[in-house]
Amino acid sequence: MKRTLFFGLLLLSTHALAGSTEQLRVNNTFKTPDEVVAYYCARDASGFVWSGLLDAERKAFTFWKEAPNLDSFFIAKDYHLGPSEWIGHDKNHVSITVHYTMLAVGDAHGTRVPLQDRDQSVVFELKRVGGVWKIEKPEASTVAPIVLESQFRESINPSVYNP
Amino acid sequence: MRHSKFTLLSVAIVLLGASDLPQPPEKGFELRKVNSLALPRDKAVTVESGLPIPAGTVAWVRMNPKDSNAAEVRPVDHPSNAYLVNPRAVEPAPSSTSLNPTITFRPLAAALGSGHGTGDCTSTNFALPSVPVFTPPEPPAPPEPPPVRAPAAVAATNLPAAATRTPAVAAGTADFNVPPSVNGGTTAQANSNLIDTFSSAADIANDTAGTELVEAGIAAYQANEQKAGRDYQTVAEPYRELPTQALAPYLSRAQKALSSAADLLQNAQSTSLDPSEAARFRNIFLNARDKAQLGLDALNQQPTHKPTLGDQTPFQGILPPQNNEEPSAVLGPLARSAALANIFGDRPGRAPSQAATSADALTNRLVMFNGLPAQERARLLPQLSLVERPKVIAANGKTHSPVLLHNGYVLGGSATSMDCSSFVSSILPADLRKGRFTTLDYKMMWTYRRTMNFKRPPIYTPEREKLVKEVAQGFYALDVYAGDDLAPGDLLVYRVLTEPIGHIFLIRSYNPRMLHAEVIEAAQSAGGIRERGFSLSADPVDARERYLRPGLYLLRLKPTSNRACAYKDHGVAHK
Repeated sequence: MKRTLFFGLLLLSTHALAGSTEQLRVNNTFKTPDEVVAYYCARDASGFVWSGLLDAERKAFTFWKEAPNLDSFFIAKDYHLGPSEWIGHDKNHVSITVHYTMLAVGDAHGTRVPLQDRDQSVVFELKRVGGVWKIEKPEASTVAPIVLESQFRESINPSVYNP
Repeated sequence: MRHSKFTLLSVAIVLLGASDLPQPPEKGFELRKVNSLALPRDKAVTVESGLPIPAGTVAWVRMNPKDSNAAEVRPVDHPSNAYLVNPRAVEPAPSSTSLNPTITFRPLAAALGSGHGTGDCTSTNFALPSVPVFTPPEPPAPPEPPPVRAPAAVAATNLPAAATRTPAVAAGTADFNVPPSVNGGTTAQANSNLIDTFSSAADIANDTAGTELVEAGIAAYQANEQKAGRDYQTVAEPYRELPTQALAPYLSRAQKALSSAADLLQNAQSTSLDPSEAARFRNIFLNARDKAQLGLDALNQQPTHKPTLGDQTPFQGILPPQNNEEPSAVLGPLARSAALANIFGDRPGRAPSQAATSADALTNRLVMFNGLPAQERARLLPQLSLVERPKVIAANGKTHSPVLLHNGYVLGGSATSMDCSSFVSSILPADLRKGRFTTLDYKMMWTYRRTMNFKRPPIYTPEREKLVKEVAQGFYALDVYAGDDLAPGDLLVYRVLTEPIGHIFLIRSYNPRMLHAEVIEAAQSAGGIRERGFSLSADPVDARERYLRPGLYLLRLKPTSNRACAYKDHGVAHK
């Protein structure tokens, strides 16, 4: 029930993100792995992974040694989280798949590379250490920022995505 | 300079050691001075005086380092400055006199590494005195051949075209062009030796120039990092003696100011900032705002505050850690408690100056600066190095100039032509690339230089496409898959079109046999740069065949000031 409500809020929030951003946290007080992934994805969707994940944030929510740092990003129309699943019989390991509707690869200068394969997903693996869930995989070096289209003030001509 | 001397010595040894080398032309070619030199390929020069210059001449043109408008011709002393008169490019003199020909020069290194005698468009036209400054037309196509370090065999096969005698040579006006062979070999062999020697010398010179560029780039990066460190200390200074509870109004002020700054950037009608920088700084301001708010929350959650020695003593920064706190000299002046250190700590174990260009240090700098009272900000502002005051027109039409503290090289979208060492240093950190040229932009520059075609997709805005095309002119595009070797100072770009993941390496050295390069790249979250080895092949070193990794694009900055950057502070060339 709690999870359903959370998903509902999340879906609403992803549709209403225009201009709004997920606030920074430096303490991981989340009780479930779903909340951790939801927080990360919302921050990412607001462009904060692209603009530079802070160290305090990285340490609080991930096991990454370094923050992802790329000059470009994916642009997604929307996304939704799948249910969390245990990895094997270990109750301290879960995976959560996040499904994205991708539009393009782009940068903040407005350059866009349309994508043929729109439906893409990212599988997050989380580990609980000391009662705190943190993202373990994908590794930072393979993570690309994914920003929601609604973050961009000027809407992009749809023909860009359908050349 | 140390490298330059080494190069000159090396070249001299190479030249002296080769007994069958041709000597510089001594007769029939006495260019003494070149005026109005605009280096070297895109503008015209005039020659003050000279004798007829026959086709096929090998000339040595040296840029005058003390006068950017002059050059002189002298025996070769630096192969990268040597020019070969392209024998097919000699055109009839406008005045029909032999004293006034228009002659095409091209860099020797470029001539050696590509097909000769193609009459390509990459040369500089030198016009003799009676001819007014001649502006060559913009080259339509094909792209300029890069200064490839071609193997000797390849260079030799290219030779016949270069050695082909034009009618002027055949008429005997320039028999020095094809020097007699001292060992009785053929003309082609002599020229082959000549080209081998020049090729080796050009390699040494290019490597030296590249090494100088790398060193200058690293120095520029370190200077930038030091500036960020000094700025950090400047804005931190007023906080050092503040009691912990007195921080609250400062953080509150910072929270409001940063919120306004983020709103201003987000809702601006227009700004002098590059759009990408505006987007990035909006997020940096928002992070700083949130940090200030989190700091306020942390202060408010402290139930009762017992003043500690560290709160009011000038020795606060050197006190030992208390209650698991690390010294504020390491963590920064806002890290007064474990909770605050969690928010404002720099990088434990590292001095703030070392982490000064990290994302965390920048947000802390912004919080501290924006938390100060207005008069204090005004006092400190002139002392800061890494600060911009972009013009921002707000949604209500009012013009603002917010204070933008940054980590270096914040420029407007159309700004190019920065110093080449700064340019190289700005290429490495992804944070700086976000606001200037991305790995995709460099890939497109490479493609454009190779094909003269700006392929779509990707889809660029017209202004951005124009800028990328313009800056592309500052590079040679080399092809590692066609055998071009890497050289110090080269930029090796990895980028796949449909993935946002890309990397860029600055080459420090390269071992072509092992396909192994020593590279400099950005360290991700450290906000710094690092050196490491990079193999161009993922195959094991002992594999029978080793294939190059896909997706590599090699760019070499032109050795003279160009559309991408200007040489100002090292000895390769001078604007």
